[in-house]
Amino acid sequence: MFCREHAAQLRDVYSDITASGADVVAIGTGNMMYAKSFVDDEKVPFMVVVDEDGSAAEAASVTGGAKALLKLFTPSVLSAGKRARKAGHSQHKLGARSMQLGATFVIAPGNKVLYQHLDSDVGDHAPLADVLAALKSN
Amino acid sequence: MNPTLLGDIELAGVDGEQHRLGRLWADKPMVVVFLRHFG
Repeated sequence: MFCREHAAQLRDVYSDITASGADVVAIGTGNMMYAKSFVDDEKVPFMVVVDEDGSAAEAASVTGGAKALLKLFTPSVLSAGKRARKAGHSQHKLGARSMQLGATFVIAPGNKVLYQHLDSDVGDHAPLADVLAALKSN
Repeated sequence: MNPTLLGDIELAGVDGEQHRLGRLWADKPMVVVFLRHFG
């Protein structure tokens, strides 16, 4: 549900991102069947790839496991759940490593990291205004 | 976060192609979003 909310938010600013000369790739856990359904349901306009074995998450130091489980029922997550449901998003079937937390990076040519946000809990996402500001600063 | 290590990884895309991640930001900035899952 939170992933779908975040994908929809990115979809809504995708034209602003491409207008700045950048693009978006979403890296998800789970399998290709879930990924295709996700893209179709949410009308995702950007590239989506599947990190089945978690190697990309590991390289990016994106955490999960028991740490994420402990953060699943905090007041901020419950509040974020209400926000996402109000916006029309619902929980679909979970894939592998569903306890992995999300993250957002902006990486420029030369492997230059312009921005990074490691989600603090399952309902947290990078503020898109910050992402757009990082792109403009490049 | 190690962008060099991440860039060497190749993943399957929904488009049916294999993508080496580093190529995606080789010539333009890329917003790289890790989703928890596709649920």
